Formats: sequence, C-alpha cells, structure tokens
Amino acid sequence: MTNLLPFGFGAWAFITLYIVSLLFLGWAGLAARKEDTLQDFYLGGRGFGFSILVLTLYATQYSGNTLFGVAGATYRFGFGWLIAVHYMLAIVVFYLAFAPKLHTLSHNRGYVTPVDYLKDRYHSQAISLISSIVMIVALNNYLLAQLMTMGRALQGLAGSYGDEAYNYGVIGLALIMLIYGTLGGIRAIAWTDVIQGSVLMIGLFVLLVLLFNQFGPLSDATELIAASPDAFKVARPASPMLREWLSYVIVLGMGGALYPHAIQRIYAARSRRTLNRSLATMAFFPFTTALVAVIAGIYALAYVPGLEGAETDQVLARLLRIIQENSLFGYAVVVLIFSAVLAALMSTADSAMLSISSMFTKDIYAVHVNPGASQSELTKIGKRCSWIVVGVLVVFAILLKNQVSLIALIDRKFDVLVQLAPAFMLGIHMPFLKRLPVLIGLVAGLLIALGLAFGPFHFVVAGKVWGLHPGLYGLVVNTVIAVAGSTPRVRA
Amino acid sequence: MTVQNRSRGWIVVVYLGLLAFVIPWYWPADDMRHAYGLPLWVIATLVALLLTSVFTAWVFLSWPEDDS
Repeated sequence: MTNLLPFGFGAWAFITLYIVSLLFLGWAGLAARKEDTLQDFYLGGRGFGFSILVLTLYATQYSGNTLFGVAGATYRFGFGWLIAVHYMLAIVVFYLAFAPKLHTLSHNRGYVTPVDYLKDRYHSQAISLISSIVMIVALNNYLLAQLMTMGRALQGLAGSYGDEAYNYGVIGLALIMLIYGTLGGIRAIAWTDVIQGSVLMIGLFVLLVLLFNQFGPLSDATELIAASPDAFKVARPASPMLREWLSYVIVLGMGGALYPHAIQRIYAARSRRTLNRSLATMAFFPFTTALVAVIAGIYALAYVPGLEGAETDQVLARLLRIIQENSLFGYAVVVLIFSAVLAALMSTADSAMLSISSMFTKDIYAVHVNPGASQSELTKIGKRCSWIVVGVLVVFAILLKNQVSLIALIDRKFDVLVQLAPAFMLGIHMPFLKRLPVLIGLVAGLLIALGLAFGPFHFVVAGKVWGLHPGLYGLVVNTVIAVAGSTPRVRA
Repeated sequence: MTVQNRSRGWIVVVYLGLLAFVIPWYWPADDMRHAYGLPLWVIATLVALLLTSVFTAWVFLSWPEDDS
C-alpha cells in the first residue's frame, strides 16, 4: 500500500501506530470480560460512564457519510445542504421522545437488542421478526456505505492507482475491525470509539484551520461561487429542495434515533443521569462536525470545480490532496485528518457490525434456529456472524465501487428504518397501542416505502415523490393505522 | 421537571426546529448577501438551530435521575 499512495514512511508509521492501538484495545476488551454472556459482550455489563458514552455515541453517529457524503452533497447542492446540521440535531431531539424511558425499561427488564423491547411491549413474533429483518437490512446497507467510503478515502489520495488502493483499503480495514471487534466486543469498540472520537474532533478542527490557511477566508470562496455558473448554490434552496429539507429532518431524524447500535448504547449507559448528560452534549456536535463538512464542501465547490456524480463524494479527499502537496506542514496535518477520516469510518462500521451480529444471534438464531443454545454458544455464533456479514459486504463494496452515491445509499436505509418509529416512539408512551394495528401499520408502511422507492413510477423523481422520501408516505399511513386501529371505539 | 413541563419543553424544541426550517422557506430567493462567507439566510438558520440545541440540552439536563 505504501507504493500506491503519496504518503511517506512517517505517515504510514503514524497510521499503523493508530491501527495497532485499536488491535491492542481489542485484546484489552477481551481481558476485561467478566462473563461469557451476550449482555457482557454486547452491552459491556451496562456500565458506560459519561466520557465513554458521549464519545462512543459521537464516534458512532458521525460516520464516513457525515464527512464524505455531506461534503459531496454540499458540493452538488451548495449551502442548501445545511440540511445536514438540521437532521443531525433532529436525531438528538427525537431521542428526547423515548431514550430516557427506554433506558429505564432496559435496565429493569434486561434488554440486549432493540427488538427485546418490542418483544416485551407487543408479545408478537411477527413484529419482532419483521423489525429484526428491517434493522439488519438497514445496518447492512450502512456498513456497506462505510466500507465503500473507506475505499474512496484511499482512492481519492491514490491518483492513477485508485482502484487498487480502494480494494486493499476495504479489505485491510475490514479485517482490522473484525479482529478487535470480535475479540473485545462492545468494550473494545467503545474504547476504540474514545480514541476515534477524539481524533475525529481534533481532525475536524485542524481541517477547518487548514482550509482557511490554504484557500483564504470562507468569504473568498463564497464570492467565487457567487460569480460562477454555480451562483444559485449560494441563495436559499428552491421550493422542491425545501420540501426535501423537511423530509430529511423527519426521516433521518427519526431513523437515526432508531439506529440499533445507538439504541444499544442507550441500554449500556450506567444510569439515566449519565445518558441524559451525554445526549445533552450530543445536541451541540452538529455544529462541530456536520457544519465543518458543509464548509469543506463549499471550499471544494469554489476551488475544485467541475466534478460530477459519484466523483463528488471524493471532494474532501481532493481538498486534502491539494493541501498535502503544498507544504510539509500541510502534508503532516493531512496525515492526522486522514486518520480522523479512518476513525469516523471504522468507529461507525464496527458498531454496525456488532449490532447486526447481536440481532442475528439473539433475535433470529436463539428464537427460530436453536432456542436451547447457551449464552457462551450464542456469543460464539455472534462472532462468526460478524466475519460472514463483513466478508460478504466487502465483496459488494468492491463490486459496487463506482456505481452508488453515498447519499442514495443513506436514503433507502432510512426509508425502512423510520417505519419502526410508531412501534418504538409511540408504543413507549401510549399503553393503548395494540399489536395487530401496529403490525399492520408496520407492514403497510414498509410496502409503501419500498414500493415507491423501487417501483416503476414516473412520479418518483430522484428516489423521492414531490421532494419527500418514500419512507415519509409509508410512515404517515403506518402511524394512522397503528393509532386509529388501537383507539378504543365509543359505543353509541 | 414534571411530565407536563417536559412535554412543553419537547414542544418548544420542536417549534424551534421548525423555525430553522421556516426561515429559509420565507427568505427572499434572490438574496445573495453574505457575512463572513456565510449567506445571511444560513446565519439566521444556524441561530435557530443553536437555540434548538440549547433548549434540547436544557430539557435533558432538567430530567430527574429517577421517576416512576
């Protein structure tokens, strides 16, 4: 890999040291294990304190999509992609609706996976199985996006060797993630998140300083765009995109709050106070993370014009390359930022991987395949599941490398994930919600969302209907069925 | 914080979040003015989002440690 990239020995020594530290934490997580149970492997014995919880939530929520996808979308749509700051904040606002209560329930009832709550609340195998499949499919999509971004991070820096760098990057980083993730479970992943979250925060701050240093103030970039054919990207978005804005805030806000790996972190918090302090802190991270990615996209639009399609997801790497080639200091700092990018990708991918294996093991294997399996056996099955899932997705990531925009991948995932909102967010506050209407609503919502997203309809433009996500139409029908079907009828 | 006040807090947070959406909706479409590199409509929207963040954090921090 050293021959492929314009990084010298010192740069790779730094990145190798960072990666070795992750493997060491995998071993430390294994050593810290208290018992061979699913609760210990997937929730760390429910003992996460404030600093670990806030950094693991941060490193998990802010992924490769946040950096590359948001910078790329800003490049395509301009300042209108301030949407990203809004939907990342909406995730925290939706947590306000159910996270504290779910945390208390999880500690009292011993939940391990998100579906454990649904089993306890509705006593319906159908709701549990459909929800498991929805979450596993959505997370596989998410994990695939992270693996593809790992490849693109290297591809963008590798010039004419881009394809080889992409393949080696995806395989190598997936292998490292598998080793520390299956060795130490959630403890190793949360501890690596502390390093990755810290590197990400520092890296983004340094990126902002470097952009100002390399290209001058943001006002120069904005004036350059205003004087170019892309001038419309400075003005506020037109009405169709404003409808998309609202749709993104609702669908990504709710869907992001229902990420299975994020829900498992809610379970893993030591106390409700710890959880609330962590989520209160999370409310400010959209400004230090998503907004920085938007600003990077604006700089790219001004100084690296002319990119189109999937190429735009690489604008951040293009900017880094310009900075890197300009001075020795720039080169050194790009190494730090590159490590931050790897941190963002790996910290999200490893959490998704662990969450998929926990749901497959506890919600599907232990219920439908081998109900008598011991905790130790289930933990082993979970680890094997991680290797198989990541192996298959690595192959997909290599096959699809030039075909899928990251934002398109994100959209489909949230269309299905948001259909779980009534069962979770309303079910936790509305004792009258019954399982049959919730099940019918869930199935109807999924059919509408997937039908509109993949059906041959002329009115579906760029995956949206009148600027709104297909998942939003499904969610409205889903909610109406769940609530109206559960409302007690008044006899005349 | 009582359940009723918490519900009010959540409603205020949602209204502030909607305000951040309404600002660009009603901003003049041809306004290209900017300060410090950020278009004025972006600055106004960011202020509304920051208020949403502050209020969200406040509701979380006011939550009692344990309540039935």
